[in-house]
Amino acid sequence: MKRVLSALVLLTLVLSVACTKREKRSVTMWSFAANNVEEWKKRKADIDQKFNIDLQIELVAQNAFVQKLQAVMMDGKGVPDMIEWMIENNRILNADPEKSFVLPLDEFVNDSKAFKNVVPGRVAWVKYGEHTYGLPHDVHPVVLIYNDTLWKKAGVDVEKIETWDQFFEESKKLTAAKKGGKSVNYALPSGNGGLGDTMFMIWQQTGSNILAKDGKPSFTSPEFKEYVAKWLEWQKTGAFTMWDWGNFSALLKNGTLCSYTSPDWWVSQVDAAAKDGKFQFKARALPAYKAGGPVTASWGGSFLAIPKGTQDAERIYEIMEYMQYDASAIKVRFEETGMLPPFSSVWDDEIFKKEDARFGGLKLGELQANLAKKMPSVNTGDIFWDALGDFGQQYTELASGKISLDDALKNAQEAAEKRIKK
Amino acid sequence: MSVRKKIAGTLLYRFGFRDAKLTVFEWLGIGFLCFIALIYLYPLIWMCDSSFRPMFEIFNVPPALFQKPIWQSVQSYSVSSYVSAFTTHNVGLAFFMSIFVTCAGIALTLLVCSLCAYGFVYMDFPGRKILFMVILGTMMLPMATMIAPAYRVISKLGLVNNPLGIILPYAMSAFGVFLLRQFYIRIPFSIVESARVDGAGHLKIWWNIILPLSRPALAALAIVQFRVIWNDFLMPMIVLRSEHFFTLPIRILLIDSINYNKPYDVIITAGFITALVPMIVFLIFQRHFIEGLTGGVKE
Amino acid sequence: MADSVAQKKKHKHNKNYWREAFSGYSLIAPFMLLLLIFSFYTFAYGFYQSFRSSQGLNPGDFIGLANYKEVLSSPTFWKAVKNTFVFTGGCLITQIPVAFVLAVILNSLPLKRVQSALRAAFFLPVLINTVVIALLFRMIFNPDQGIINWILGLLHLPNSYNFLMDSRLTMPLLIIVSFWQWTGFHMVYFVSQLQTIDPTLYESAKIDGAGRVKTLLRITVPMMRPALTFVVVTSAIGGLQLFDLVFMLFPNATYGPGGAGMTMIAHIYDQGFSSHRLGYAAAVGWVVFFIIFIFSLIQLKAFGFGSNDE
Repeated sequence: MKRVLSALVLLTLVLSVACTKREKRSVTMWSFAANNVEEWKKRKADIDQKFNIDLQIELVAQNAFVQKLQAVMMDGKGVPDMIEWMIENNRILNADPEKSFVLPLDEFVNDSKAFKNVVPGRVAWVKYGEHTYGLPHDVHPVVLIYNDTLWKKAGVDVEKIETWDQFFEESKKLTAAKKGGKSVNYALPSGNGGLGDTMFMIWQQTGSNILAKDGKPSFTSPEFKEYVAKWLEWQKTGAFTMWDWGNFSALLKNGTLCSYTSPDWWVSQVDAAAKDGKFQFKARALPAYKAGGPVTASWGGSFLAIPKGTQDAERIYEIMEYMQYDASAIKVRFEETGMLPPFSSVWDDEIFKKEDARFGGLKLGELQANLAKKMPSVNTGDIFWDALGDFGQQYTELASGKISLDDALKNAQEAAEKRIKK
Repeated sequence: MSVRKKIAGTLLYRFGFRDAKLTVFEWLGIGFLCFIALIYLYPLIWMCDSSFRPMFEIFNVPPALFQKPIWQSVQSYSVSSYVSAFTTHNVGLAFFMSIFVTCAGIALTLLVCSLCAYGFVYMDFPGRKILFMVILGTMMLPMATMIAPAYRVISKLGLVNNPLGIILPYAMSAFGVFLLRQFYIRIPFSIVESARVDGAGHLKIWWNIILPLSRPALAALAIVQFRVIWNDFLMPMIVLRSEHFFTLPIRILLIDSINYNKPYDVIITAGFITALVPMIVFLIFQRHFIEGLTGGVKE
Repeated sequence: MADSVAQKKKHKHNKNYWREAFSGYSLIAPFMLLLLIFSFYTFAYGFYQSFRSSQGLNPGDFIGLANYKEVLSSPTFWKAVKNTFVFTGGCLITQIPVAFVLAVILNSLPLKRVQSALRAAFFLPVLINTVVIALLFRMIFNPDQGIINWILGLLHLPNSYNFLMDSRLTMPLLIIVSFWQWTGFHMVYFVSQLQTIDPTLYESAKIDGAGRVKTLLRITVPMMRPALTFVVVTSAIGGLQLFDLVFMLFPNATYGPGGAGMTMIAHIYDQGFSSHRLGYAAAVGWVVFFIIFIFSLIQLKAFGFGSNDE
């Protein structure tokens, strides 16, 4: 009798454990950013416990992300519950929810208290048409970091510069010294491939859009033309140098590159140079395009989204929001990686007011937070990144002088318009 | 003979130049070729050198290697990037995974392709010519573009996140069948015929006679497949989900995706390791490889 | 062997024949099974898709030959075709003669050790991953930190040229990188084939008093015809399928400045994964296959491979 009883008790125990285990849902997440994944992994125990899930994080290489997602979604099995993908050039969002790879999150974000605090300029990047498709991870305000020592040596006080035109005029003094026919010091990096890196960041300040509000391309608008013309003029001053991901911090360290427009995640490039102690670096808001205009921009970033076909989107959204916007976690994120959260409410916290030794005690976090509040918005849309590519193709011909500015813009416009017809 | 001539003679002997009777012209020619070879290999030398340097020196211009005399610049070598690669970035695990997948893939390829080539060469069945043409035709199909359907097949077979899912497709190498077939044709049929007359079954003939005879061709195929499998990235990235299954090329691209403080020195080092292994394999099996391409059989 | 099989074919279709046929089928079965599963299904699906207006995850509707019509009238596609053929032609012209000459020189070197060392040296770049190669060459051609520009500086020539951003140079650059990557491969193949040439031919030529050049032209080249054919055909097929290098050398899917590096396969990839037009991409894929197929047939006819068949 006793044995039967104990067997029954055991059975009940086992069954109850099995049942609770079954409640623990496995949530799969794909991410392309190895450094974000480190944060998720550190917080996994906490997240698991709070939502009673088992968070599985899978790393997917950037070059294969869209292909893999597409292949898996078309197959239907093993689709991740959540993805973390880059905001720029993501190629999976679409104003038409039918065509998008991920679910529109409108119903959730409208009810969300946390989301209301996300800077609108940032939301613009994940909002196509009328739908918001993701939770931005960051806000990435851009500051101008510069090598004060070398600039002052050339006789320029960068702090006093107000507009980009001034900046490039003054940069001539910086690049005057030459060795072997090439300048020794350069003012800004540029990949010179079209609207990318520095050109992309400054463009955001101009207020000229490449897509009109209705999503149609507007390359031939007078404002955009003015900007491109100015940009080409600035190229002629010799202020720019080519750069590659690999040698960037080396360029800063040896003084070849004397300033750069930096989003928060790029600030660390100056670490080695600052540690060296040879030069004094400073940071400030960007010079304005036109006096009184925006003094910041954004570059890069990631967002969390829910691929189509997920069963309990609401639950996944809760988890996503917690991962992305939990107040204490964001502070840790800023402390460890220097990445500003997209939340205006948090920015008054003390940790953003710390003095940064790299920049002579400047309160970088405060500067970035203030700038983020004034982040300019950009019209995005379905063909935005393709249109950018179309412009890029024309730009290289334009930059080498093979075609005229009007022709380049016209070609880009036509190429982009063709995409809409499709 | 003077001492100098003796030493020179000994040196020449040790390096296999004993019987060399070369004109000055020929020596110059060899020297020139070696010089060209060194320039040709410069990127490799640069990679090897960079893997031992800290990140800042890698992209120096002029290259750090030339900035100081060799014996000085070598002094600043350090293995920190190797240590970092193997500990923080799991390159070691990826290395073993790559070795495993490559060896399994090669073994399977050799097996399947030699069986198939045997069938096409020594046996007759309706549609033989057409089927062979079809196989050749598959060499021209652009594989990289059919990712979604290819994935679906693997998924239906339940091989997602399973190394078999990437190993099996490697075995269907049309090039392999083609290469082996060209080799088998040159094996004198009398050997096979006499075995048949003695009553041997086809599988026995294949295993005991053809396979050993075609060793050079198998070696050649093995090296070609090594290169293909070792460097393959796209399908493994899509089929494999768990990090511990990732092969070296995938791992390199993942390290490359660290935008915050991208460890370029680790990337170069991992790239160097990835490039080094096929090179070592080739150097070891060089002779067999050449023989295999020759396609000749000495009776 | 060919004869005996041919004889058998004509005369007996009895039980023995079918038994042997069955064995034959079972031997090629593993390979054909893999081919069927991994290759045929994939391409049959692609073929099916090419008649639909697939976009992203939507299978789309049946639209008949509309995709194919669009491909054939698309200027981007034809530009890609032109780029690809220019590239392939450039590769063939640069790689094959150089590989051949190198092979002849190496083969005539009296020192075996040196010969295999040099052989290995030129072959090594073949084995490197395209990702790594793209990395290496991006750094080599960098305007300010690249070694090419540094050398130009030493020679007092203009030295901050941005090679990778000049659309006129994109194809030449790709050809150069491809040259570095593949010449060794062809050279090694040629060396191995050169060694199969009967040395007595050379001896009798020497006795007849033929000079080096004449020997080369009259004996070596004709004997190497099948090898040359093989290399030309396989390199052409490989060249027409160029994609990895362009994709890796020009980041962010730009395929070269102004799309100068857009090859046929790159176009397929671009349509399939950037624009998500899978049906259209599949159609392009089949047109590309067709082009490669026809081109290979032409080459084989021109070089007379048919006589070597069987």
